[in-house]
Amino acid sequence: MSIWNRFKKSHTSSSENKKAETISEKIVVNEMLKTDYPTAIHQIQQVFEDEADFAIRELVVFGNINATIMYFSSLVDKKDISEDIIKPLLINTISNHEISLKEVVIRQTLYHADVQQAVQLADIVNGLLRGNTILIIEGIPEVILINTKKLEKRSIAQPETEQVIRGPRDGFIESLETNISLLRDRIPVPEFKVKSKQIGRITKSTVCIFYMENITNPSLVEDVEKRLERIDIDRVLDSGYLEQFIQDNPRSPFPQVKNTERPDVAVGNLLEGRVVIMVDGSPIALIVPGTFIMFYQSSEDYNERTNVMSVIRMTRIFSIIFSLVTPSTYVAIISYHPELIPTAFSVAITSGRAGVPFPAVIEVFLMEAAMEILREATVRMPKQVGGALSIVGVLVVGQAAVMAGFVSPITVVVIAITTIGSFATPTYSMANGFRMLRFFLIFTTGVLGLYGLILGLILIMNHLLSLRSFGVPYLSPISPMNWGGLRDSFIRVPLRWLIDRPEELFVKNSQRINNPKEYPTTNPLGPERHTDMKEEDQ
Amino acid sequence: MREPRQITASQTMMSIFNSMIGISILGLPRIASEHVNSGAVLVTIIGLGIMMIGMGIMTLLGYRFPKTSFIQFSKQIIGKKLSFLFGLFILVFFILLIGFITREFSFMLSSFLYPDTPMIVLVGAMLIIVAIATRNDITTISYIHFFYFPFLLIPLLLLIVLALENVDIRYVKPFLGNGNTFSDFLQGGLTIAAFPFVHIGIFLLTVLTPHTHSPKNAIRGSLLGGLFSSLLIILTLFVTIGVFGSMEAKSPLWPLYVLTRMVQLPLELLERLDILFLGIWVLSAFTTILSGYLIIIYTGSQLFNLKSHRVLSYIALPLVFGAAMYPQNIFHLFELIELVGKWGLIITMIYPLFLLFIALIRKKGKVMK
Repeated sequence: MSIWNRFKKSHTSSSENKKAETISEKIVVNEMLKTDYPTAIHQIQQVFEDEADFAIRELVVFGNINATIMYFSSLVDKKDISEDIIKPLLINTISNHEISLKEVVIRQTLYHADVQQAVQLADIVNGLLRGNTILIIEGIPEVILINTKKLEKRSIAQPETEQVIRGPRDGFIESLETNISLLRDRIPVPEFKVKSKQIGRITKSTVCIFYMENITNPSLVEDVEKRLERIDIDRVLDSGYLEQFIQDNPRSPFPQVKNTERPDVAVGNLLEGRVVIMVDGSPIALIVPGTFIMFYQSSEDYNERTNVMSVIRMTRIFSIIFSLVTPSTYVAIISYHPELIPTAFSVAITSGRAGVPFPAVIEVFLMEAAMEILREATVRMPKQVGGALSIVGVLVVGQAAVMAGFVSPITVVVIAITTIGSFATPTYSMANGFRMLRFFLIFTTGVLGLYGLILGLILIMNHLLSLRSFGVPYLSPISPMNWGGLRDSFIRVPLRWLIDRPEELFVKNSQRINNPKEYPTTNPLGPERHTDMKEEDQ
Repeated sequence: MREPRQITASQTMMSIFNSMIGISILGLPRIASEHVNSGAVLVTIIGLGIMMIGMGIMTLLGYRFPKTSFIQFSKQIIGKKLSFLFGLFILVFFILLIGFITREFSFMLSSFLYPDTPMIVLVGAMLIIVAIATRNDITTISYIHFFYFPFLLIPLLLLIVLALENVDIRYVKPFLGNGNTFSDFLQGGLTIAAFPFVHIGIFLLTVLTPHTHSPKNAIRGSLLGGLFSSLLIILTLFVTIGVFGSMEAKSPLWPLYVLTRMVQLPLELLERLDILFLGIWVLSAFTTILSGYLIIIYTGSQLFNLKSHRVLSYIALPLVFGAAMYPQNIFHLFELIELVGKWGLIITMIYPLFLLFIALIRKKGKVMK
């Protein structure tokens, strides 16, 4: 009985404590700021009692009226405050007594562009924390919020993850406003829509949804909004947080949302009828729905010659299949079916493996693991140490391991080819997925040989075939097949033949090119023209 | 976000093709020549003709009762109790059949490549992969068939082309065989029509038709699928008999597999092609068993009024596995396949025909123009 009581008591008291803890809960949701000038100031001061960077500046404006300015010195541009707020308030006098004091301040005095009013305490506190300066003037019940936010941001630079040889060099940065400007600058039409909402109980991150009103299927936009609406988490520190909440199958190794740092890629996808999502504080935009083939397209594919780029695209696909299958095929051949390869080659392999103590599976597995460790180490290392690490990696893991008889030279070659192949994927997240599946295939092959390899591949393929991203089959346009889409998949036909937008997105307006046949070859300097000119001369 | 897509004619066709090209065609040349020696091609044509009739009956039923499953419309036609009984027969028949073909495939693997691997592992691995694949909806399964279609078609054509240079036309003559009677051909034709792939091909229609875009698509897809796969089966048979002759084709258990051993690529890249083809046979076995397994769980879910076939995906596993492990040895297995297959003709041919007649008499379903 007593234990029960104690438990009950402690339970209630702890919940009370919790309530008292947070300041935002202290402010009642609809609490109004007191109209009385000193009380109002006191009320706000109370909220930010001990803040180090909370600043208060008292003024006497228009000669005889008391006013107070409050701001967070860490969030604002002080020059803005002195030039656009304090200076006009102090210099001006009231010349026209017909209009009210509030109108005079807002309409005639303040130089700043972004001025708002608020009466609720929660709004004011929120405004202060987002870099607004608040102005309280005796005799005006409303508080004036002036957006003087200034945050340090880096300049626009070339994205490091998606480099191109031919194409624009700018990339998104952490500031959402700059990113929106990059997009708006490229799509100067009113149909380009930006919707914004706040996600994250504590971080209150601004999330923006971009789409083309006259192209994108409205139910896709609706679905994106619905999925974002459901998210209830304390923080959104990067767009990756959102990705994990909105993707269809969180257990799949394949990314179902494409991400990009490049505004041109984002615009290209917007114009195909996809939706772009961005978060303040993250330079990486999300593109939905993501299909498999999108992860093998690079923005450069559209800027260069088609046949060359088609070959390069096929190279990418080939290299990923190659890097996925090679180690396990090697295992299957060496340990289960050595009769598959020509005798001369098989003798060479066997002699190379003569001193190796492990079966092929273990050998390949160890080498793959070593490779992954090396790769992971180089990613996190400071650049100065990276060089030393790669030397150690090359010498020890490659040369010395072979010399010591741990691994056979052919295994090293196989693993090296595999690793290089996996780098040929333009998208990091997709390459990671396949990296993991390689181990899975080595395992199934180790257990059941070629049969295991085929079954493993069937399993992966079945998964890919059943995967959907926002209702779009992941392997479209390959399966279900559509010929129009195949023109921009493994190959990329000339732009003038890419007439329609992707069919699987059910866009409102599928016409990408309006006059596909009106590109005749003309010969402005040909013989006909010359004869014309001669006739004219005569 | 959008309404579930529906199966198109080409997907139906490819699904049927993938289901019919399976492990059974590896042994087809042996059984065909056992019955009518060099008349093997003709007897296969007869057998496949019987199959096309069966497919036609099923298609007509599907056209008469669009968007309803086989079990549902048989309930409409002959009443609840009788249709339930027949449904149970279908279920048991397919559980046995799928178990047996999985076992046959595993036997083949074990005799050529994995003599030391326990049968349970070979059978179990395949069945588990199939069961996982049937967790998807029917449309997705048709996508799966669609995707694997070229991987089966192209190697098979390659095999035919590569083996064509070794074909001796004298082996195939005379088309009527030596000393065969009409009843030999009928017997042989029925044996071939009792092959597992025929049953699966015909009954797959009962699963696909309710999900096709329109009944017209179903008809076009199923007829094309049946014709196309028949053509390919006859071609492979022709090539196999043409290379070995009907006497020699009788001796190996899977003559077509032996053929893949014989063919060689013009360039010396790989020592033997048969292991490469093994990959294709694994895939073809997978697609066939997938269709068969789908028939089991789909019919089961309809029979017991379940919400979706997915519920049965794993429940049916031990049953099929039990059927697969039942035969003692390969000859027992072949006997069982033939026995069950022939009885199965009642289920896949006569029962639908009976349903169609009753439906015509009782004027049930959509009346044809």
